[in-house]
Amino acid sequence: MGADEALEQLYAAHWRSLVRLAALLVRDLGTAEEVTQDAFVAVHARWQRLRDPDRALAYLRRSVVNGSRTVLRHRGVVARHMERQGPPADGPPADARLVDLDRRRAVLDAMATLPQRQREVIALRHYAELSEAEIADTLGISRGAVKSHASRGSAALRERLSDLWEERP
Amino acid sequence: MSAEDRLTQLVRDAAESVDPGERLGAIRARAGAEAARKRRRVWWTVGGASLATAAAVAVVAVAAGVPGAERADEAGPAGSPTDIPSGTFTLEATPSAGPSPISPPLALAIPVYLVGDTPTGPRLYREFQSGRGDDQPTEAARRAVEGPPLDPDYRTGWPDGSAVVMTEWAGHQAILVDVHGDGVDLSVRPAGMTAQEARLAIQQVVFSVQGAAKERLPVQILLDGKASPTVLGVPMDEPVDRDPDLLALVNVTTPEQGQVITGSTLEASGVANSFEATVGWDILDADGTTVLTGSAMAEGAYDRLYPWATDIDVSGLAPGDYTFVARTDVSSTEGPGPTEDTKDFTID
Repeated sequence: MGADEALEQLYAAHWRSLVRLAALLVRDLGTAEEVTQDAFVAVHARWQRLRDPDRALAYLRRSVVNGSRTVLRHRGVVARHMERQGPPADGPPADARLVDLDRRRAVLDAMATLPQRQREVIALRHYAELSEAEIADTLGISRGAVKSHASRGSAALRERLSDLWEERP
Repeated sequence: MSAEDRLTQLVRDAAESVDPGERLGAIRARAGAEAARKRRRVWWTVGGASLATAAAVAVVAVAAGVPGAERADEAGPAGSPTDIPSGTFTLEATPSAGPSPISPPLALAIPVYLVGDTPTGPRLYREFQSGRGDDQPTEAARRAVEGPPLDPDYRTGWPDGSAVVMTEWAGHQAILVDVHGDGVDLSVRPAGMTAQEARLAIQQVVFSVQGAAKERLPVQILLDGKASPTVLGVPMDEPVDRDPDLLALVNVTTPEQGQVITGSTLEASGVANSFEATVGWDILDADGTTVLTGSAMAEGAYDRLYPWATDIDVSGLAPGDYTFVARTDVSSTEGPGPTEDTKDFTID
C-alpha cells in the first residue's frame, strides 16, 4: 500500500477519534483539528518506514499527544479558555439536552484543570481505552508512572465532578 | 457501576460530543507538498545556480536572524495584534477569539491578507491570526492561501487544493514562496476566476509574506519549487512587489472577530485611507439596530492607509453579541459609497 492510500484509510478510520482525543487534551476544537492534521501530514511522510496500520496508529496517537503538549506550552490555550469560561452556571437546567451539554462541558472543563500528564493518561485510558503498557509506550514513561498519574487524575476528576458521580445518564 | 467505569462513560460521552470538521483535502494537499519538497534535493532552482547559492547563503542568514526593517504600514496600530486561538470551542456556537489576559508575545500574531468585498469590488483585508512555530512567513503564506479566515466576511482567493510548501529568502533580493497544487494546475487562471481575483490571490501572498517577514522584498511564487512564467495566469517570471491599490480602504484590527469584551471599554483600532482621515463607526446589537455611533481620526489620509484607534465606552451596553462596523467617509453622495469592515464581538 502506498503512502497516499494509507493516508486515506487512516483518515477514514481514525480522524474523528484522534481529533476527539486531542480535544480532551487541548479543550479547543480548532486547535485539536490543527494538531491532528499535523499528525496526519507527518504519518504520510513516514509511511515508508511505518508500513503497518497499527504502528501508524500508534505513531498518530503519539504525534497528537506531543503536538497537543507543544501547542499548550506555546499558547496556554486551556488556561485562557478556563478564564473565559468563568464559574459553571448554577440553577436547574432547562431540559434534558441542556443537562447533557452541561455534563459534557463540565467533564471537558474538569479535564482541562488536570496537570498535563494526568490529563494525557486519563484521555488515553478512558477514551482511547489503551492498556497501561500502551499508555506507557505512547507517553514514553514507566508503567508505574502511568499508574500513579491515572489514580491521581481519576481522584481529582471524581472530586471535581462529584455532582455527576451518582447520576446515570 | 464502578467509579472507573463511570469515569470512562463520562469521558467518552464528553469526547464524543466533539464534532470534528473534515480536513482530508487540506491534509492531502499538505502531505503532497511535503512529499514534493522531500523529492527535491536542490530546493531552489529558480534563476539558475547563482540564486540557488544565494538561497543557500540566506538559509544561514535566516538561522542567525535576519535583521528586518519594520515597515510603518505593517506595524499597523502598535500592540493591537493579540494571540488568539483559532477555530471554535467545543460545544460553543461562537467563534473562539478572545482577549488575552496577559500581554501576548507579538511574535505569535501573524498578519494574514484575505479577500473581502467593497463597493468597488473585491479588495484585500488583513487579520491577525495566532501562530506557532518560528517560520512566520511560511505560516502567513499558508494561512492566506489555505484559510480558513477568522472573519467570515473574508475568503482566500486560491483554488481548493492549493498548499504552501515553504518560503525562503533568495539572498536579499526576493522571498520565494513555494506553492503546490493538489490536482489543480496553478499556473493558469482557473475557470470562473476573474483577472482581478487572480491578482488579489497573488497579492494575498505578497502582503502576508512581507508582513510576516517584516521585509519589503519582492515575492516570487514558485510552483513545486520551480519558477513558472505565470501563476493563476498572472505573470510571475520575476519577483513582484505589493500593490497598495488592492487594499480595502478601511480595515478593523480590534475588536477581533469573536472577541469577548470584559471591561467597560472597547478598544477599537485599525487602518484606513478615508476622506479627511475620518473613520466612522457604529455598534449594532444582535438585531442589527445601531446602539452606539461615532468616529475616529486616522493619522493621515490619501496616499496610503494610516492607523486609527479609539476607546469606546461600552459600559451602557448589556451583555450580549454585537457587531462593530468601521467605514470610510466619502466626500459626496455620488460614487461607489463607503468601504466597510465589520467584526462581531461579545460583551461579557
